[in-house]
Amino acid sequence: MLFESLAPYLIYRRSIQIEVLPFPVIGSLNGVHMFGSSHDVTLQSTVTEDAKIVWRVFHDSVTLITIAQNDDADDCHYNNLLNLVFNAMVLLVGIEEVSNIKNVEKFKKEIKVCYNLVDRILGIKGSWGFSQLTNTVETIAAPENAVLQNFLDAFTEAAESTFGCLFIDGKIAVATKKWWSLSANELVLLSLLLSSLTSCTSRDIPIYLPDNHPTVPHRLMTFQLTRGIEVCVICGPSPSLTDLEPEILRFWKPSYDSLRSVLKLSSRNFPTNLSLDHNTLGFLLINKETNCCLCSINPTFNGGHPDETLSFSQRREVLRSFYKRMVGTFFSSVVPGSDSGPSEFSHQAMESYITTETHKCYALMSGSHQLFVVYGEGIPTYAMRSITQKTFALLTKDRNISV
Amino acid sequence: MAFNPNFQPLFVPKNEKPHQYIVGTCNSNRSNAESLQQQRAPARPSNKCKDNWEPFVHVQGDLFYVDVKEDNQIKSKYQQRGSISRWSPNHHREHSPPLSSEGTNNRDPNHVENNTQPSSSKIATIDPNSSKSEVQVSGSGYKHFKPKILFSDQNILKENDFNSENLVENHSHKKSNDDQVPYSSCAENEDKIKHVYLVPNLRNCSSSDKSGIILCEKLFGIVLCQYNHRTSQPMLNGNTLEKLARERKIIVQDVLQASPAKQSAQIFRGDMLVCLNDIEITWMNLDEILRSISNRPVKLTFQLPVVIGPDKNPPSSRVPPPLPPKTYPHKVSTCTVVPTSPHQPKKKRHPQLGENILQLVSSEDKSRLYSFLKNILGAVLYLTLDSQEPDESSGSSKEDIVYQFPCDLENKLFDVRGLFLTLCGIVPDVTGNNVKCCTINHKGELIHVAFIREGQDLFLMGFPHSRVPLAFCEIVMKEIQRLLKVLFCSVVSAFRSPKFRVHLDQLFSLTMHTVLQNPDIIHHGPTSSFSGQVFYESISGAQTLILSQENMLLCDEILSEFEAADFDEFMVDSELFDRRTFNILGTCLYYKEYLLCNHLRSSDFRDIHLFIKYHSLLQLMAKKSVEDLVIWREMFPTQRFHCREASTPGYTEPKGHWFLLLVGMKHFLLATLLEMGGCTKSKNIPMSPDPFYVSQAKATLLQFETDDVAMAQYCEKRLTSDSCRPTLVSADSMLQGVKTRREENTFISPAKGQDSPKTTTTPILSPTYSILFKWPLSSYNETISEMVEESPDQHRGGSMSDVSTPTMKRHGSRLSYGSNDSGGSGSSSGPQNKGKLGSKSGSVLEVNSINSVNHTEPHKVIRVTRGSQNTLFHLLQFDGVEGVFVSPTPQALAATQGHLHSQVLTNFYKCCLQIHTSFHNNHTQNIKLNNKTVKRRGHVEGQQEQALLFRHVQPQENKRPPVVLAYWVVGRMLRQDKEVFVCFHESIPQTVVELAFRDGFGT
Repeated sequence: MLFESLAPYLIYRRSIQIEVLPFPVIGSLNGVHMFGSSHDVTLQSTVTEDAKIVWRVFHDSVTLITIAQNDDADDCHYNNLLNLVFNAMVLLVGIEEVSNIKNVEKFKKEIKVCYNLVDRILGIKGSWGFSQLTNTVETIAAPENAVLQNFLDAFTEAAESTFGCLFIDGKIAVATKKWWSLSANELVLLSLLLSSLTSCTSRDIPIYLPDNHPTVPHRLMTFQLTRGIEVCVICGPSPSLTDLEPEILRFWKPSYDSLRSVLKLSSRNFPTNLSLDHNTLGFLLINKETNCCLCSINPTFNGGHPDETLSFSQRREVLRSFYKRMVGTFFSSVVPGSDSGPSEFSHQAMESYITTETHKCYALMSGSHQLFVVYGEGIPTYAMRSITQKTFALLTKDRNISV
Repeated sequence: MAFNPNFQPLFVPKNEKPHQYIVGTCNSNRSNAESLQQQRAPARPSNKCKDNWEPFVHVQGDLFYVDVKEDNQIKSKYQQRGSISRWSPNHHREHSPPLSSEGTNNRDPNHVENNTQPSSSKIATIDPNSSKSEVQVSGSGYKHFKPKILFSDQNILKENDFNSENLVENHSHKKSNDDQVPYSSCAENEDKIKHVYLVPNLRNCSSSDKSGIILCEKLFGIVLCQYNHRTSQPMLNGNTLEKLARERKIIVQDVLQASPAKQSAQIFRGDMLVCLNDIEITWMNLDEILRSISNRPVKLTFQLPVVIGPDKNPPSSRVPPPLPPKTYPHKVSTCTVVPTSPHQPKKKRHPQLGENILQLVSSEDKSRLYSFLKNILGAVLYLTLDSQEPDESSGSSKEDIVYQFPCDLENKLFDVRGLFLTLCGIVPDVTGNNVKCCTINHKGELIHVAFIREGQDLFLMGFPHSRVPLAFCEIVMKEIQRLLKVLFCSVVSAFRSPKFRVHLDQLFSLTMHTVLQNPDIIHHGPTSSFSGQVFYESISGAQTLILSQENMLLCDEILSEFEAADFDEFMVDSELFDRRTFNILGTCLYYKEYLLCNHLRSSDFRDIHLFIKYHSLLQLMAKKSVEDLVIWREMFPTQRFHCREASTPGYTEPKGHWFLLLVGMKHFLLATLLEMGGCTKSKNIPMSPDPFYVSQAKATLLQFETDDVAMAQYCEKRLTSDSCRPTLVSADSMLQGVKTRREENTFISPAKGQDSPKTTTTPILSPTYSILFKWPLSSYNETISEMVEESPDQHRGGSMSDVSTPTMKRHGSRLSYGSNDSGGSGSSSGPQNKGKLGSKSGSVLEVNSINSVNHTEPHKVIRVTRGSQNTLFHLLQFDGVEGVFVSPTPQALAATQGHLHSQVLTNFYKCCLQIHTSFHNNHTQNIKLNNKTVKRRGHVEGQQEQALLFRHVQPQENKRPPVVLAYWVVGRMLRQDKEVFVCFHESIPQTVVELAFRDGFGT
């Protein structure tokens, strides 16, 4: 449920759950904020029983207002979302267009290219991922990644680029070093952009990198290797799409078997030879330094019967709400502004857990890593700590997992 | 001499009374109760009763009268007294000087007065004025005294007079003394002199004590200022020294706890001792005079220090200023103190509504609070959407402000009130719900504004984030809303009717003061120990002091007796057979800031507690010994007035009027909820306080003061001793302990080191285990073993058996958080594992070291943690149903205080606040989310838990590895609305934490 408003005129995106707001209401929402800023007061957020409205101004030209369900989370999560939406516009339109709006009508038309991506960010379209929530890019850890890395490096070189990446089911399997050097925002936006587009064999999109090169347009070329697997490179004016298309088959044909086996992992996301405690329903492992995360909601093959435990979507939801409750309040993370809440405590929070009637959650901070685990209700509370530490050791020590 | 309240009934015209006493003596307890009852003097006819508070009754019938015993308040007290005595001409005569000779003589006039002049029924027991001199705190002779009543032996009475430890002169007495005692220097400054009668504690001193200073300390508990050792010595020689010694003043440096001087509450640091038994005292004769003291009461005369500066309050704030009669011009700054005009007729005296509670509590006056508020972006506003249309043109018009606090203050929040109004208008269109809270940023400072919408009106409260976190802000708003409803029937009427304005000003100034914390905190910084205290405020419940069963019963009995309203003996016959004016619905009793006993329905209790909390009355009771406190007002209890449930068929709760009566004395505060309606006599509303009920409530309080009950002493003992509570340990000492113990442990158990990845925290393994095994199993152990037995079912076998990480195999070692799961789970070998466990370190059986909470063994130290080292930092239980919480007393806190510990506590309270709110928000959400699953399970185990592990790394010198302190803050919700919060060192195994949770509920 989000509305973008561009001062002084407003355009808005409609979400699935809320009917279109009449123009005057949006106008007054914006007006309230403007009234405040004329009095040297910035209106940041407003909370009602079940909803939260957050205002944010970017570059003195765009005001974004989000109206979201109030799920008891810190403001930083809403701000992060708005930040991503703004950067999505920069990614596709460029900072100059967004920060100096000369013709609003023209801008409205231009901005339409972002709608798909914005919908994806807000989780309106497609399945809801953790990338936009954690501001880290989701990865898939497969044993075949080492092999695939060689293929990717070779292909990227052939494309006269240094930015190359292999996406499997919307998650990064392997990427070149240069690609990993992109900022967190860019990493997240690029992976969301790919999954927001309708599938086609190859495409060539002009993009601006919001943090590194917000004014210089680049070309993002993507090629579908097989269903759910895309390889993409960012390059300058050359080579053209047609030049590269024939190369695909030559470079990637030998990797077909590995790709197929990686694809099989796509709901588990981590190697099958690692076995976690059978109570584990899902986990989210974040590396704050590399800006990537690994998430699995199906970590055990013979986990409890779906009727007895949480369904996959519920696990995802639980992980998500647990993350939102913890980060920004007790833990700091990659999400911008998430360190203000934790800094109010004089000591650093390291671990945390929550138990409810249906599930238990445990969070563990260790160095640059953060691990959030969801357990079934069957696990004894006192066992959670050691099991989580064990899980953490397993996940971070495994050489196939590069998170 | 009206020194003894018990005597009063003797002088009651009814002659049968004394017989009742004799009957009552067969059972000592019973007789005591009866004689106590007799203290409830016949206060009828009430219309003539001239209680202290009487002139302060508001037109609406409300009363807010507080009189505090305090040295720098004495003047104001006298002024009040003065006005009262002018008012009642025979006032002086009632107060007989507590001197033996006069005492006996004066009783007769008093007697006669009572008989012949029923109009002045200012009977000693209920008269707060005289009670000051007559309340006996703990006269040791009191017990013997009662039988003697029966013979009404004048001589014995005379002696008893001296036995009362707490004879404090009163106004009239002082005057008479001033005439007798020649103070040349003090004559013009008579207010600066006070006389205190103390019984010397001769048992304390041995014959070897020669020095006057030591004697003074032992006899009275008064520590005198020693200039140097030589001056205090008796063998001074030389003229200069002698002159010095003569001219040096004898100043009180300190008053010892639990000494006669302390109990009198009259002697303070800085007082100058002038005379002893009317003999001028100097350093020269100090020793001799003190040595000559016998066990008779001693009259000590002190000269008060002259206080110059802001502490001296202008007289206007002391004498209740007459308020402008009922005309409240719109937006007049009602907060300003109206200057007193002494010539104002007394009938025009309106209540101060506790004007100076703020001053009493915080020892700072309004202007300081206001200037403080000027620097802080906080405000209370009541706006209306209605009046906006007529004056669109005048932009700066304030037509929309119905109420504002602080009244004459203009800050940013006032400027942008349009923003709030608009928000309030449009947000419901967007989300379908009213605005609860909004956050604005002004020059980098975050301000939370809480909203409540009432029809076309909007009630706002804004606080800066740095002082009031969002969650706290919402709680305050919720509570204030409830309180306003309870006090004024509805929020709208509270703000709309001008007659409540004074009260609102008072309420909000107190709220602002407590919520925004004392301004002094700024200087201490956020890590000060005080900030933890402030978070108490965020817990919407009363802190309880758990009494022993015996004392609890006593409290219950005394309160029930009052609630029974069996006042036969004290009512005039004609009234006795009438319907009663009120029906007592329930009472609750506070001692200092602790709730002792509650006989109220939980909803009513919460209403009353909110009133007490937001008027800072508990802080007042804790800080000062209150001379006399009477508060009376009509209230609209939430459950009885606002949300009446559908009544059970055949019975409807009476509709009527409810009144809150608060009576305070010393540190006790008794809250009574009275109902008018139903079976009671119907009277006109508004009702002014009924002196009869007030006096009965006071008499009830007096019962707690009697020797047999001595509740105050017991409470103090309870507060100071830690035997009744789980002992706590300081985080600082824990850190120290870790440092030393780590080195020890390398020798004791070298094998343990490699187990733990982090060697920074110590294994709680000590060689004393063999002893621990022999301890008898307490009831706790049974519960523990039950738990252990159950647990294998919960997680049978599985992947845990193939765990090869060392963490899983350790038992009772440092990382014992997980250790019990291996013991409990029996992952590999099941129950037969136990023997093996025992041989290793006995992780399961170690819980034997937990002592049972056995109140009959007060000397046993209660520990909820195991091992030789205590690891519990803090504990807090919250019962939402009853609205109470329990946590360590400040005394216990002080014992464990340290810099690090205060940080831990601050974190703990912040965390508790977060967890508490998330419990409540999440509870509803969870049910929504998992409706299906919950249904299928059939039973909902409403247990929730949330925990956080904090780590504090303290770098060490010499490049040694830094010392790490890690501790858990765990909150658990048991059933609906019952919560426990615990803070403990991470080395406690989880199973033992269960005990901490159990501890509070006496299971």
